[in-house]
Amino acid sequence: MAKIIILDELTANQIAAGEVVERPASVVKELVENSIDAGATSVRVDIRGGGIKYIRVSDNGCGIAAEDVAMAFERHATSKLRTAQDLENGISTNGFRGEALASIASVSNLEMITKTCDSEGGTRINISGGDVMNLCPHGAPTGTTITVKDLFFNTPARYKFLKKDTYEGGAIAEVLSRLALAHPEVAVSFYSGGDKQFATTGSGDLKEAIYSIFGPVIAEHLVPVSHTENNVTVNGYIGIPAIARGNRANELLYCNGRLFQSRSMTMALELGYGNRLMKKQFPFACLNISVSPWAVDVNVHPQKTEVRFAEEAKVADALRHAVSISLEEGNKIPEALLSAKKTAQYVPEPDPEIQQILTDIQVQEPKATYIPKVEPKVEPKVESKPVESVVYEPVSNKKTETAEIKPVFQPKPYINPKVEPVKEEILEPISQPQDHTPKGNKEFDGMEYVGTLWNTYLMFQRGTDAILIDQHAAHERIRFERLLAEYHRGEIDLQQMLFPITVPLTTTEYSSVFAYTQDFESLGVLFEDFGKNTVVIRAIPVNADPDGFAETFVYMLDSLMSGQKVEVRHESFLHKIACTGAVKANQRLQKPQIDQLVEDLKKLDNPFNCPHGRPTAIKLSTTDVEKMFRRII
Amino acid sequence: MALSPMMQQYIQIKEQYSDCIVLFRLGDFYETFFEDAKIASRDLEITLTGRDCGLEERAPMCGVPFHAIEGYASKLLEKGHKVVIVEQTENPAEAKGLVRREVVRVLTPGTLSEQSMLAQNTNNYITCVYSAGMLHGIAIAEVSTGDFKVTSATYGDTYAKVADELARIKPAELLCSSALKQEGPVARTIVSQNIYTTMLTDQDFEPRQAKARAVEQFGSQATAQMNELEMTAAGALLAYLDETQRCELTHIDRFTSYKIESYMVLDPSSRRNLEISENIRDKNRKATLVWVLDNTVTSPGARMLKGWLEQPMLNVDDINYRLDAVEALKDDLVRRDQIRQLLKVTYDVERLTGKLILGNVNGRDLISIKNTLRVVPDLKGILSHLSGNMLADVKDALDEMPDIFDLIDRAIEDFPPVTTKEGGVIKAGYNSEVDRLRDIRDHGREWLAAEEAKERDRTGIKNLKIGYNRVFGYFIEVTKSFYDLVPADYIRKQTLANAERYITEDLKKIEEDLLGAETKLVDLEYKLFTEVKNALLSRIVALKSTANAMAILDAVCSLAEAAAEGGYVRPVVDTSDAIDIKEGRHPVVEKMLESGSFIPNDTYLDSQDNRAMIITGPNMSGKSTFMRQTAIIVLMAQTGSFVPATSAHIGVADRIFTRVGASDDLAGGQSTFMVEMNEVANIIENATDRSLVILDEIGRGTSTYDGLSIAWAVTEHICDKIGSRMLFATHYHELTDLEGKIDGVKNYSIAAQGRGKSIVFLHKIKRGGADGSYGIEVARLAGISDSVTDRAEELLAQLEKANIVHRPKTKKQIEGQFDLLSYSNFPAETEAVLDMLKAVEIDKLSPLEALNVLYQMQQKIKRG
Repeated sequence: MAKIIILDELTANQIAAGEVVERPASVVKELVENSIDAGATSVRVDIRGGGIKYIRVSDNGCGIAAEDVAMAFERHATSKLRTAQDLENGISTNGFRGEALASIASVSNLEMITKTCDSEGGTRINISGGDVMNLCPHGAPTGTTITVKDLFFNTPARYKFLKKDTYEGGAIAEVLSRLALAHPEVAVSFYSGGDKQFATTGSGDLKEAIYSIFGPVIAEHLVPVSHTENNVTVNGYIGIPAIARGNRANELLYCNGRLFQSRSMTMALELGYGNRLMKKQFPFACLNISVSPWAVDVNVHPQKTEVRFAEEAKVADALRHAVSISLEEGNKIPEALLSAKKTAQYVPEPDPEIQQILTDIQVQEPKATYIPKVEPKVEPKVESKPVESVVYEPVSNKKTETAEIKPVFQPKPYINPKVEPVKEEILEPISQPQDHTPKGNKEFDGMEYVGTLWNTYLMFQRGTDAILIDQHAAHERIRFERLLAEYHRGEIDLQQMLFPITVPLTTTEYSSVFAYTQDFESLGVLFEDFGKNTVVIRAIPVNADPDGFAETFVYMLDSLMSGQKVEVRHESFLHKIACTGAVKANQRLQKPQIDQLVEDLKKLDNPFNCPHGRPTAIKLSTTDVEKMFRRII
Repeated sequence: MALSPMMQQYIQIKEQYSDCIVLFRLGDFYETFFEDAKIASRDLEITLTGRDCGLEERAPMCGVPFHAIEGYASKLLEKGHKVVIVEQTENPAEAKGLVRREVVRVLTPGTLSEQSMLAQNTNNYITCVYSAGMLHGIAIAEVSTGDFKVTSATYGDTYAKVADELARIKPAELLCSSALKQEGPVARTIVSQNIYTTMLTDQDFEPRQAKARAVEQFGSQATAQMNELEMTAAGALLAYLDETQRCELTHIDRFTSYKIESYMVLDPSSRRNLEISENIRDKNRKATLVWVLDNTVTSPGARMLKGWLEQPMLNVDDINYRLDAVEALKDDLVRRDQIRQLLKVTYDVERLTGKLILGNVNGRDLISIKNTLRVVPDLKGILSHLSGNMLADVKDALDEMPDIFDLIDRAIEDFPPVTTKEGGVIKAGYNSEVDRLRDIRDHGREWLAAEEAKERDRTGIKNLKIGYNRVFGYFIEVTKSFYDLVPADYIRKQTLANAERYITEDLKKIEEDLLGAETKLVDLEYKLFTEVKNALLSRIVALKSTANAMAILDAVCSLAEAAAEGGYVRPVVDTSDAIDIKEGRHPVVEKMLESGSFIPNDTYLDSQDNRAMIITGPNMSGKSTFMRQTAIIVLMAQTGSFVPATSAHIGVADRIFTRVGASDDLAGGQSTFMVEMNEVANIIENATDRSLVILDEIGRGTSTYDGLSIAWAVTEHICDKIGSRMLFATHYHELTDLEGKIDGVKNYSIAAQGRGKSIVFLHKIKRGGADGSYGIEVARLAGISDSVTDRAEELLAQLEKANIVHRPKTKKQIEGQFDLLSYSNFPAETEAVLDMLKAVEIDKLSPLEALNVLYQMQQKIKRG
């Protein structure tokens, strides 16, 4: 009995479909790429039920002639190339394998209505699970409309693997927005359940497309990129470090107009930022790398997301340079771009590890030198509350006169909440930092308050010691410990928001956020749906500060979305909450507050480092000071 | 037995307002009496009670609480009553004898200014028509915004013009003479549009008096711009407003006059058929042009847009003025979005200005004004980057009013209460006296505490307390054990079982300050509030200008947004005769269908060879949609909007006529056919060579030949004699013969393909007459059973054979010159031959003669 047989067409298609059609998002990708290849200037995608139940892609491209319609659904049938030689010569279309339509039709109820511009009437074809049910003339405008219903209805195993509607819908949103950005000359619109999710204008302006998809917050903090070296051209926009996020979801790299993933290129992108970025912060980027079609092989992976460069290193270098050059030039721009309210000059948070190393180095060199020049208060006033449009400034008084007059009314930019306006350097321990971790918790006893330096460092004296406490670091630690304790007890005290905080999200975030409601609840954050890509936060931990909480929320969401679990990350989340609400540098504290701070410090087991790792207090002895003044050698 | 004084007061007032419901303020209630009470009880569904009035029987009485007045008044207005509000004008506590009462307001549908009684997205106009013989002056006002317009109808069919204007404006109330309401087109419009009419007398329309009133309002220089008719109408309207509002109408400080003839004329049925703002089915907004184009974010914007769509323009420059602005905004997504975000937070300042004048603004309204002014600088900033004259004009009209903004910001609390006479309105730091009084009021407790401590120290009475009760106010309470320590300056006020209560001079003084502070504060705050309000009043003109500019901006952004979303293009509008639309789509139908389903079509009309498109084809194939879309695209272009097409060249149309739909007007006593004929008559009377005429079937509702003949004659007339551009959809295939016979007629049909027993609609318009009516196929599609439709097919075949029915010709037949004229002769030929046959005397004929007769007869027949 023959054991080996040739699979029939349908089965073969379904198996192939497994590679090409993983989920609704793959269907949308294939169909929309076809539309774009057909020369459409406008593509509209409607889905219902996350795309599992219903997907409809409608375009105004060149359509398919009546005699070609049936053929289009044959496997390996394509109009996009004739011979393998064409592959060699470089593919300019998105699709070329001739697999997509056949695959999709084999695992769904599909209907296509299409008409070419020179024909009076159109054609309609209905295919169910690979079988052609109907083929007949049908009235239609020029273009193609494909409706895919009941995906995987005939492959239950695959159907089971689909995730929830919201997840699949989010994946479609992501795929579609990537495509839309790759083709700003095509007007792409996306509707889910009848509601418009986004729509690009098709004007060809990439920035406008970014605006339509990501919103003003991101679009207004971009730097243009345009750089060529070694026959590699990099074009597009990158975001300033202030709008960086906790995951790589916003790093979009295209090669010759095709989205791709590549570790090496991603790294090159991030290296281009140098130390402008914090650890675990990833920038926004929408860049197209143009190389000659011979220099890149796109036929690597069925889903076409991987590419191989002929000269990878050169491309990586070009990318890295492009990014760093643009950022440098961009350094002058952000001031005018950002709205009238002052935001602190972004100063990167020093990596605690590196800081520790530096400190250690210091320990080895007990050279007491002069007190470094203490600069007078140098930093711009940081309003600890980024305020919305309360300040009214008549146009005539505006200094940024002919430059972009930004609306004062503006949602808060995503400022990195860890912004510390005070330069670390001034306050390095000026001499041998003693083992400044007092043992036990009696270390803060018996201190007499002497004054405050720069509204930031509280000075105490006790006997022959002078103790300087960084009020922000200390407060952070106090709050963090408190939150952590509450979290472990399982009862984080909440404060109901008198003025609920609205948080604008990107399309992708919005479609996923509700899956994490429980997680947020366990961290003491209650939120609700608030309509179009927005959620509203109703309650936050008592110890958290409402100001800036929106950014914290987004940060947490991004981390969760990139797969990190609450149980693992809760410390860093709580840490974040603790930090944003803590007393800041340059904030004048009253005596009762200072007393309270010290009291709280005394209660902690480990009050000596802020959660970042920086010291909360340092000690100077009389000896140290006298040495500085050369009273003793 | 005589009427009590209060009742007399009531009767006196009621006599002046016998046709209104009088709401008489009695304490916390507004009461109605006698007949009014019975009506109110019935219409408002509240209990009828009674009250002693000094007569034998109790007077019927029915009342509502004062705080609920607006709701109930609205209901009464809805039922068609006018409502008179009579207030107590002096404080009852201070009145000696009868409290003085006066009429403060007469509420009529057209004179409402209370926000809660007005619809947000539509205007609430009151119109006054003055007729001097055949000539009419029209004045239009909106009390809540201070808008005032005048126009007149002085030539042509003036009554029709007035009727059309009224149909366009759809006023909430109309003032006119009784004659106008009796009969004629105006009367018909009043009935069909259900317009609430108030009759004015000749006295009200007395020209000199009216003119004086108009001059008083607008100044003589401005008033000189009006003609006599307009002046009289305006004056009469103002006088009526004096009666109803009973206050200075300072916010009606200017008027605009316009010519009816500068806008496209749309008769009421065309307006209805085009479904601009009301759909035919249920008169709602859904599935109307406004529904598609309205992306406004403010109420004034929505009203402005609706007004534009209902009044398409004729002047090419004006049209391009608006199109430029729409284009600039359509192309700049970011700025358009920014503008809309800014406008979103503004308030309906147009209506707020009305409120300001008519007296009842509160702190919240002022803050709303402040918040609206706040966005002005940013708006101006954004506008400076956009091109076009209209946007530049809008930018200029926006007045930042920094002084007013600053004043409100400094003076008024950010979240004030709704009341103005209970304090809490003025911001801290604005007025030192207010701050001082507040300090006293708020820290009175501390003062008392301090006083208590002080007394304790002074007297040594350790448990000395300061307490309060209503009778004595504040007092010092000392228990029995310490009586001996009570100092001399304590004045005993009250004795209790275990304690004594005293007052001191100091304590009393504190108490006075404390209690007095509250009242003084409230009065002072109100005074200051009024000052701020008056400052605002002095700048009412600038405020109105800004509000108007914002409304325009919102409306224009709405059109730009619709254009961007719908993929519309800018039409080329000029005074040529062409209507050249490529791949036009019906904006409403397109939106209702699923994406990518609507099939576009071209339209080409001009005044030479393409005057009339005769469209034949099966039902449901899209003929009607196609014609309507042509009309709507022309209308949209003339309102300054972009249009759904890949290109459009529109030669301005002065009127659009539509004769569509089959509707009996049984209530009006007219059959389907009658209604149709009325509409056709109207068209023939009034169409010009610059009009656009849409005819969807003429000649239904009557016998086939009658209908056909009428349709034919009408087509000839409109095409030849009038020269309008016309689209005519018809079932009469005979009319396809007109191409070639009349200049300018072209046949078109909607493509459909028969497929066996069914039919596929391709919805594409193409040249040439239809090749079939496919009536039976459509019937089948509709679900009529096969037995019936099969039988129908049989009958059809028979009828065709008998040639009773004129079948659409195949090419061969056309070439055979088988035209209508000779067709009707055919039976005559047969008759002639039969006559010949009858006349033959066979006996007398020789074989050769017989052959001759045969030959002649044959010739006769062959000729046909």
